[in-house]
Amino acid sequence: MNCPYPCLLHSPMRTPMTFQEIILKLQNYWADYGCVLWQPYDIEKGAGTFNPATFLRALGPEPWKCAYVEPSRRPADGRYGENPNRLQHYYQFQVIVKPAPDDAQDIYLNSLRFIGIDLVKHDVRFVEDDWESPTLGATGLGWEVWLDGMEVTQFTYFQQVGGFELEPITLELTYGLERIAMFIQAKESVFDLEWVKGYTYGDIHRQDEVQFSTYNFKVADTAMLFQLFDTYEKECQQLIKEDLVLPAYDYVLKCSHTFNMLDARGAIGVTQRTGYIGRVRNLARHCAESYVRLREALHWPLLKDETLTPVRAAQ
Amino acid sequence: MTDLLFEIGTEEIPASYITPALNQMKALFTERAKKHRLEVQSLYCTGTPRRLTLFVRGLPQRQESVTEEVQGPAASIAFDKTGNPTKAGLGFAKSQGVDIHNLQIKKTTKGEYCFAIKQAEGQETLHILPEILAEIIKGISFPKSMKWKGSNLFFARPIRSILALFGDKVVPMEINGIKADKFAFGHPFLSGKRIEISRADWDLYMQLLRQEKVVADMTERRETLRAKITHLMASHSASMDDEELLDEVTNLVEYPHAVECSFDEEFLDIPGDVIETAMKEHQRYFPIKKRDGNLSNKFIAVVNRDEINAQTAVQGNERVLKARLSDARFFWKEDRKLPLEKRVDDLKNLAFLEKLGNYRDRTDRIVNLSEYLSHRLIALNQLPIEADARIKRAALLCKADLLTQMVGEFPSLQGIMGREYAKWDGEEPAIATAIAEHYMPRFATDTIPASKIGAVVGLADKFDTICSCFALQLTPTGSQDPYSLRRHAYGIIRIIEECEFTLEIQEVLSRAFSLLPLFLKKPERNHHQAAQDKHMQGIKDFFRDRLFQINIERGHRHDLINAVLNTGAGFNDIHDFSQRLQALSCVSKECWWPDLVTVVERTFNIGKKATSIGSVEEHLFTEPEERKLWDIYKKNKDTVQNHVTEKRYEEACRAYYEVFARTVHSFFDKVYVNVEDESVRNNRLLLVKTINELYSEKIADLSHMEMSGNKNQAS
Repeated sequence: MNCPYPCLLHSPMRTPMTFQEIILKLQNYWADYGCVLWQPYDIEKGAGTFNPATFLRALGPEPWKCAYVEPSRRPADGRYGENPNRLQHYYQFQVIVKPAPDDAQDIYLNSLRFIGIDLVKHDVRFVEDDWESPTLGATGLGWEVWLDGMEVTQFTYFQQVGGFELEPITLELTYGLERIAMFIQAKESVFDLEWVKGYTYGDIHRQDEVQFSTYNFKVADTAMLFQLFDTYEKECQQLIKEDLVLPAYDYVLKCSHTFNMLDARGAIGVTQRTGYIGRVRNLARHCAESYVRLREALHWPLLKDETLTPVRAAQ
Repeated sequence: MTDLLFEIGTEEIPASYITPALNQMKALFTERAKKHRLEVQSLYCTGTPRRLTLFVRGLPQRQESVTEEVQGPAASIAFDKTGNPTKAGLGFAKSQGVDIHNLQIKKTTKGEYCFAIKQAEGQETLHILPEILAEIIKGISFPKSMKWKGSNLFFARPIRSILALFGDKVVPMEINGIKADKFAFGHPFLSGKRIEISRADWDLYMQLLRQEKVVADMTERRETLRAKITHLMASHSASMDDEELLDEVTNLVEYPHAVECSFDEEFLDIPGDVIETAMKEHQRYFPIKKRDGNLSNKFIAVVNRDEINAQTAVQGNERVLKARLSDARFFWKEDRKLPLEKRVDDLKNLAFLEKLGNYRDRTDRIVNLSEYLSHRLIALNQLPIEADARIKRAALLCKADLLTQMVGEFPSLQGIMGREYAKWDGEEPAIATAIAEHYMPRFATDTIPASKIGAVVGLADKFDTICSCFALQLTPTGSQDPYSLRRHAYGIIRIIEECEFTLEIQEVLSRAFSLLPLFLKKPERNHHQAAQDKHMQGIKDFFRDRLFQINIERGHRHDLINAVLNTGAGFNDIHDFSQRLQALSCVSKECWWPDLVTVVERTFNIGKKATSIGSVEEHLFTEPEERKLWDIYKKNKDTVQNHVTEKRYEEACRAYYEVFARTVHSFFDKVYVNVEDESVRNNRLLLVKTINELYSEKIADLSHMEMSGNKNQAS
């Protein structure tokens, strides 16, 4: 329980950590824990959960540990750079540990201490959260972690992914990097965050927010998007038939983002909405099935190396 | 006698799960202990988000020894004629673990049977406890459970430790890889220590935890919080008035403390309901209200930190609320740019239920139904004529706020934002109020709309929802009621009762059905008439069921409720139904009640044999008692009927009793009804039936009363 890391936030020698220092620190912390430092996946997505390093690798019995920054897009959340808290593009720091360790909470809390947060002075809360992603057919139970009332992390024990009951259970930690930075730097607006000395978050991203908000809400060609959705869906189905699950999954992501774009444009009615979500979920489910089959045919390669994980997955 | 201390140490369990889980722990232990022949003196439970604790005082060291007799097959089946055991006999002996020669044959009321006599030696309690405690862990059910390791154990959140002490001994148990021991954990942030508990001692446990900043006793945590919140509020002459929120925050912390925070006064120009919702719904803050009931710019946040370390949290909580209020203010500003009236058409983009179109269509139906109800009620003088136009207007606007950004962000503000935006648009205050009220009652203890306009629109809204769902067969089953139809029916019943509206439910339902697109579009009228009839029956049964349930909850006797439901008048007019039930409940406490029941019951039982439907023929009377009864009926019929028409049901009951109690009995004493002559017999049966119907058709069917002994005295 005792934290091995000194509290940095209240050390008089230091100014608060910059945005990029927080990322570096988290990467160091989880690299030390033995995580693969994965990288962002190069297709638009709504959250780090969509990255194949999470979605696909949570399936099956193979152990897995990874951490990565995930740039995430939520077209409907854009506010033209005028709202101090809402962005259509933001960063998550994603950690996956499978099987979920017994000391999951302690390891997580130590990561907060490691980035300089005093957990005695600040009120940390685990607030119940039933997490669900209808497009991925995924559910989990856990918490929103609050720091003095602000949600900074989603802490989830996955129960289902792609419609599959999981065994073993995967732990997913999703840090909201901007929120944590706002907390640490005591900033009221995300755009005022210090990214590195001399550059603010606004310097780097405000223009994106203005441009993409305009594009997402007013300009995006909906006819083209509807057509793209159908095309991507067809390609995905074809690839699944040919057992090319990894490329097929890319098209699940493309479908999902296209749907989000159409949604932001207000082009999808409420009744149609359910239908489109169902179509993406269906593709995701097929990919999940296909992936499990593929890994099984390979005899679950990661299960063989006992050194990768201290706890061997239950069979 | 030895005590047991059992603590399930967990990661943070949702606040609302804790109390129900503790109740189950008690019940499960009591039940299992009984099954294992362990007598329990008393049980205590308490919990925090991170522990569920059970303490049992005074368990025996050893379970009671018993001799058990198990009845087996009949002796004639277990042994053949020569006295040799059969397969059946051997099988039974084997299944009971008893030698075949030790089976005893005993006489029972059903003949001779084999019995296995088993001597069960009492085991040590310590060795039975692992099984019982494991069963408790597995037996507690939560609204949602999860697994975290292995696929056999489900719990609300992961279990990380088990403390199980029987006296000073650790109960030797293990579940899902967790071994029970004698350690509890202190506050995860203020202590972080593992505490050794030397023996099963409630006070010791509480005290050691307290040293490590955990207030394990739930009541104490709540009262501490109440005192702290009240104290902070007192300096603003305000008081704590949200018990539900207090209960919830009590189970969000292990060390209860509260801090005062504030926000910029400029936010106070947002409607108070919005600020309150932003505070309570997500953040669980307590707003501080000024003496005039308006919000101040202060609020109280409950924290899981002690006095020394709590102040740091103030700034963060203030920042979080500021962000939420900034959002709200943005919505408040943006939403007002488009008046509600102009949003109505856009409701076509908001789907209602599959096949039932959108909220624009639904709005049309609500307007139509509201108008219909309004005309009915105005015709009956139950609504002033001026209300009509306002009802129509409120119905038209009532769903428009669903399209505002504010309601998108805070769905619980539906209706309330409608009111605020309507006021801003310059709608009449009565219309604005009705928009908010039409959702009422929102929950069981909520009030109904205060204005008649809100009540009428509310009825239309609820009838439309119920009919829509029944038409799509989205009906409630068991504990499943995803569209809250039971709550809607409850709302309808209460509005009709409390507003004293006279409405024919069947007629309203027909109207509501006929408006559904499902039925508008179908070409074959006959087909959809049949479908409507089927749904209609379903809804009527549903309302009947609701009326029964609601009145049971109000404490009415089930036989009285059924009696009133079963009359000819039934429950088509709900207000009338409730008046009759109310009257009957009062009358059933009168000393003459059993006599009234007897008269109605007796006339019912005899009268139901009447074959012809015609009317009583005076020339067929042969006995003076017949004529006398008939004359009395003719003379008093109007009195009873007038009471009924005027809805003076208690008087009607009393009058009926006073008129008929004696005469009917003396009629039966003197007149033999079942005579040979068919016309005379039928005429007598008809007479009895006529007298019965004067009561049964209009007030209540008393033929199935439960009289619990009184009846015998009376008859």
